Amino acid sequence: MKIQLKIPRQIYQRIMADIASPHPFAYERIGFCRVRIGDRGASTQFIFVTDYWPVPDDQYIPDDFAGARINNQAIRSALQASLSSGDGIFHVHMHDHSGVPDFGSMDLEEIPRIVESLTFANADVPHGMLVLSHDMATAHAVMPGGELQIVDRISVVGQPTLVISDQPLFSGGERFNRQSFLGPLAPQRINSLRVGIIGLSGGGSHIAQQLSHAGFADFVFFDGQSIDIYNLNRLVGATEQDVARGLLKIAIADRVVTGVNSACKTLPVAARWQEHPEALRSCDIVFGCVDGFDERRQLEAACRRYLIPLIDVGMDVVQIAGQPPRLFGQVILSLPGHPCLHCIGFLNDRTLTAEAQRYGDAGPNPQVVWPTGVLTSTAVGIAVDLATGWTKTAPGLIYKCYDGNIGELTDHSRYEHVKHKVCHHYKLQDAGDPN
Amino acid sequence: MEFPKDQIDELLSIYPGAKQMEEGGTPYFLLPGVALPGGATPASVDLLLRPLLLDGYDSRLYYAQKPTFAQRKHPEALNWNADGVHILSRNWFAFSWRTLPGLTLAQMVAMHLGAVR
Repeated sequence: MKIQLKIPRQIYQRIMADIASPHPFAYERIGFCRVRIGDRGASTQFIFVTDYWPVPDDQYIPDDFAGARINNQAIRSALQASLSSGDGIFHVHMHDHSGVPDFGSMDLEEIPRIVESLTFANADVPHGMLVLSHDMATAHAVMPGGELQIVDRISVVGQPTLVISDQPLFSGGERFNRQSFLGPLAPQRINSLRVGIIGLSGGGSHIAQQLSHAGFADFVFFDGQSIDIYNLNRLVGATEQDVARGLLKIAIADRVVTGVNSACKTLPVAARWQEHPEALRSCDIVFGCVDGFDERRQLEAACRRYLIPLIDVGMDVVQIAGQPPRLFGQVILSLPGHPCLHCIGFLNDRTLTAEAQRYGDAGPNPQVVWPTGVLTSTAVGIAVDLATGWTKTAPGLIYKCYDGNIGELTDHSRYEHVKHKVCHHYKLQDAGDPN
Repeated sequence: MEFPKDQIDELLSIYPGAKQMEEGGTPYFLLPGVALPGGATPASVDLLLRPLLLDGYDSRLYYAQKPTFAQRKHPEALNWNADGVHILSRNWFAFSWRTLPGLTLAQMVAMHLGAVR
């Protein structure tokens, strides 16, 4: 069994700010994280950090031989927090250096005893220990019914979304010389993230192609459809021979990305994501190129629950009598802990009702290649920024709308009003499997 | 979202193990292992009640599996228009069925199940 630990950036920043501050006499600071489990019982299980609290100054004990030592009251509060909330608890401290931190011999002697006490108090949830450096982390965890084991992967989710645990060094950066402005670590960071694309037709095919050029190399593709002649007007990489062979759209995407980069790893899923949700949950970033509002509602709910940034892309054409067709679209970044599609009014009772009433009678949506190109290029730019943080933009909602008749991409008119909304639909503390 | 205690108590008395949950700000009630009428196969399934107006339905009752009803007498055919909808990390199925506004939680479930008798 593999374990992945995900920390929302908001909470990671709180941890780092607290744990790096000096204590009156201790050399290190200690805190505790509240965690929840995701995909219980699966071959890869997730642990989501949902809160953090520091050990108060007066709960440290002077000890010249330890970086920091805390008293029984601090440990009792952690036990009580697990008992009263039903959540797991991680002991957290920091080593004052850069690079991958290791637990010291005293850490490995003493902290597992605290973890064991937590397991005695509440064995149904994961507990563990996390050590941070300035830029990396190492963790050990006990899953329900298991033994203390190394956490395989630790990531911070937000802007940027980074893998901060030990990982193989990426070689082959020379391919990306022309995008070196993204930063020296950009090739490694981009390469380390797994991207899910839901829908590999007009939108998804563009995204897959561009992501592989930009250096993303780990893909999960979801689409159960084969290519048809009417897809050739917009499906990037498709050929007439593919139509003749009735090739799956995910097979075309696979061919495109591995043609750009033979080292790409792909997991093509010829089905709706709902039928293989564990594959979706394994992604670090998801692109939603889906039709319909209810599909978006389901996808965002799953992404929020498993702390995955979602980039939604869509376009439509509206026919109004006496006027030329109106071509428009949107790109939305839905980031855990920030406004969601409900908060911004994109999903509401009116849109969901209208869609339900059209059920079975929608007909094919108009789709063309050029506005999709604009929207998906914007979406790929958002993903590159999520992976590298190169723009240093404040994290949060992105809500762009595109007027295809005049070729203008702008912030949506509601953006200024909703960008700082506190999301009550998906709270960070609700991450993980439903209770 | 809070529901009147007497309604929740009534639901629990009929469906022991009923549990209120929430996703995306929408409340749901999970009803585990409910015995189905209408000569259903399977005979019992988990149900999920969404007790408020959304997508044009005053309430919806989702089934964890799509059952068949060998002894169903209702003249109207079932239109399963929610097919593998992902809610609370599970896939659910529902047929189109209108309930009335203002029902209690238990009445909503009863009215939905009335469609398969």
